[in-house]
Parts: sequence; structure tokens; C-alpha cells
Amino acid sequence: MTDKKARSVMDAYAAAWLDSLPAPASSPHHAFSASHHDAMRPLRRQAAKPFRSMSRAARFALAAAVIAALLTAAAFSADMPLFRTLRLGLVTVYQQINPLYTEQHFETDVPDDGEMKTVTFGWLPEGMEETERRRTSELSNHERIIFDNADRLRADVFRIREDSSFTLQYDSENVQFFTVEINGQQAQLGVKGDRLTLQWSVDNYLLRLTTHVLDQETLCRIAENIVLN
Amino acid sequence: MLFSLALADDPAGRSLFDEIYSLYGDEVYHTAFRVLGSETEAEDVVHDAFFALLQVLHRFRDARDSRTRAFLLTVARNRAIDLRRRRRLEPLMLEDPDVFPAPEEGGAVRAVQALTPEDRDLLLLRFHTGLTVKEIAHMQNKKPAAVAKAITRAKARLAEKLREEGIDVDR
Repeated sequence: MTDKKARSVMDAYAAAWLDSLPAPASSPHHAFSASHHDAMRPLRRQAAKPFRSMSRAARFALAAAVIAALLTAAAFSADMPLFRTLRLGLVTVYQQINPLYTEQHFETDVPDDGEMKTVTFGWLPEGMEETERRRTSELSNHERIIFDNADRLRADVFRIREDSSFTLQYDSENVQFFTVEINGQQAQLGVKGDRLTLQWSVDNYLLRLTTHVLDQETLCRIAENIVLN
Repeated sequence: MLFSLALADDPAGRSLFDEIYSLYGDEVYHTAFRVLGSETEAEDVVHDAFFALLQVLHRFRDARDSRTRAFLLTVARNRAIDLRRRRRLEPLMLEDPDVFPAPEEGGAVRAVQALTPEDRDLLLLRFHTGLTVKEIAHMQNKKPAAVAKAITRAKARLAEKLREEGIDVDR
């Protein structure tokens, strides 16, 4: 069967399938949570990135031309992205810090063929309870744990393996970054209004705590009492 | 010149993404919610679907094009089902929902409907939404060679189903 034939069959199927569904406008309105809006913001900004509607190859070619022009002109602007490498234990983080968002690429040399470890919280503020724990669909080596609700405390645990580096993006507009220590290891604390994000690693696991409610001291104490086994 | 161009905002990109989100955000959410029965997880699926969209945004020109909607609903359904499979230890809240009602139309449509959801989705992404093998592989976190092989097999199974419907696949 030719690709042309396959295309015509799938076009016919898609038309029939979409026609059989209720119109999109008839879907009841859903009030998305604050956490969802937080997560969508970097995507919106990504979509607004220059020439996003171009193909990856075309963007790459243009980016190369822009970099060449920049180097030639030796121009420097506060809007330029900063490239930083951060060492968090056994995990290396390659960061591209843009004015509006930060892209982080994680790598490790640690081979890890075992099962994903279980995270245990040795200390939590009084009354705080784990309400949800699940592996996400996007990354099979990612576990998300929510306490009370996602705004109060959210923990993300990423297992980084030698053969499965990955990249994350998050809203970093007006975020101030600080370096703190968790159990003697360097950790990164991002502060934006009432949102605190603490990120560090234990062996080849990257841990990230996010809160809109807790203070820095409490967040660090929770982090220091986390055990992976 | 290039520098100023590169720093310029891309209103077309922004408005297209935002328009797609405002058009289909609720529908994608309800598609995922019907599978998962959890608001938080359904919202995560919405995020995943739009994250996937962002990676191939250059393939779409019109928010109201059926390809845009088909892409989002296909990705959301896959993500939601994948997420539900991962919680296999928990009791399922819903029976397998008929998220994609079977269209009752001609033989070609019936032939596609007779495929497995995996084959159907793969062929939809490749031949209806026009994604490349590499883009599908990137989205599904698989090797391009594996995706290419899966598409070839799915196409062969589709050809078989079309023949069963009495449709000439060689024309």
C-alpha cells in the first residue's frame, strides 16, 4: 500500500472520527488548578520563542547564524541566555537560563539497571500527610508525591541513568537562585514570590520539592530527612 | 539584523498555541478525565499533550484544522491510558471507556477501526497529522528504527483489513 493511499484512508477515518465526537466548544469548562497554570506557563513562553513555528532544522540553522553574528559583533545583552553547568552530587546539570524560563539537561555516569527506589519522608511538618504518589506517564523514571495538595508540597523524584538523560523546562521569570546545602551536598533553591523550589541529588536521583506555602527552613528540613531505599 | 530578528517576539507562534489551548484544552482534559477519573492526573495529561504539541508546533498552521485536534486527542488518550496502566495495582475507577466512539461509516473507516488502538494512533500521527518517524519516535521516547518498523507493520495490517472490506489497496 502506498503512503498516499494510507494518507487518504487515515484522513477519511479522522474526519469520520472527529465528526462523531461532540464539538470541542460543547465540552464543559474546567477550572484548571494553579499548579496546572504554573506548569503551562513555560510551554506558552516556549511557543512564543522566536521562530517557533519553523522546523527544528530551520531553527537550528538560524540559531547557528545568529550565534555567528553575535560572536562577530561581540555583542552582549542582558537578554542573552546564560549557560551554566552545575554539579549536584553524581548528577551533572547543564542549564540554559533565559529571561523567562530555564531549561535543564540532566546527565549521570552512574549505570543503574535496578528498580526505581522508594522515597521515604523521615520528617514532615505536623499535620501534613501524603495524599498522592504516582509514576507519571511522561517519564517512566519519575515519581510525583503530593502532600495535602500540590500547592502545599509537591515532591518530584527523577531517576537519572547513564543511558537516559533528559531535559526539563520550568518557569524561572524573576526567580532568584540560591545555593544551599542538604546533608553536606550542594543544592539549588529557586525563589519566586511564595513559590520555593529546592533541587538536589541523592546518588543518581534528582529530587525536587516545590511549595507555595512552606518556608525555606521547613523545606530544607524535609529534604534533609528524605531517605531513598 | 539577525540579532534583532532573533529576539523579536513571534506573535504567530504564541497566538497559535494559545488559540489551540483555548479551543481544545477543555476537550483534552475531559478526554483524559474519562479515562483516569482524577482531576490532577487529567490536568497532567493536558500538560503532556500540549508539551508534545509544542515539539511539533511547526507542523500545524491552523488551530481549527482537524489534524490539530486529532493530534491532541490521540496523544491525550495514549497518555491517559498509559497512566492508567501504570496504576495497575489500584482498583480501576472506570471500565474501559469508549473515548473514541467508532464512527459508523464506509469500509475504509471500518478497516481502521478494526486495528488495535496502538496501530491506529501510529497511523493517525504519521499519515493524518503528518509527523515524521523521527518526531513520533521523539514523542514516544522510542528509537526511530523501532517506530519505522511499527508503522510498516501497522500499514500492512491496515492493508489486510482494507482487502477484507473489498477495497483495492494498490490504487
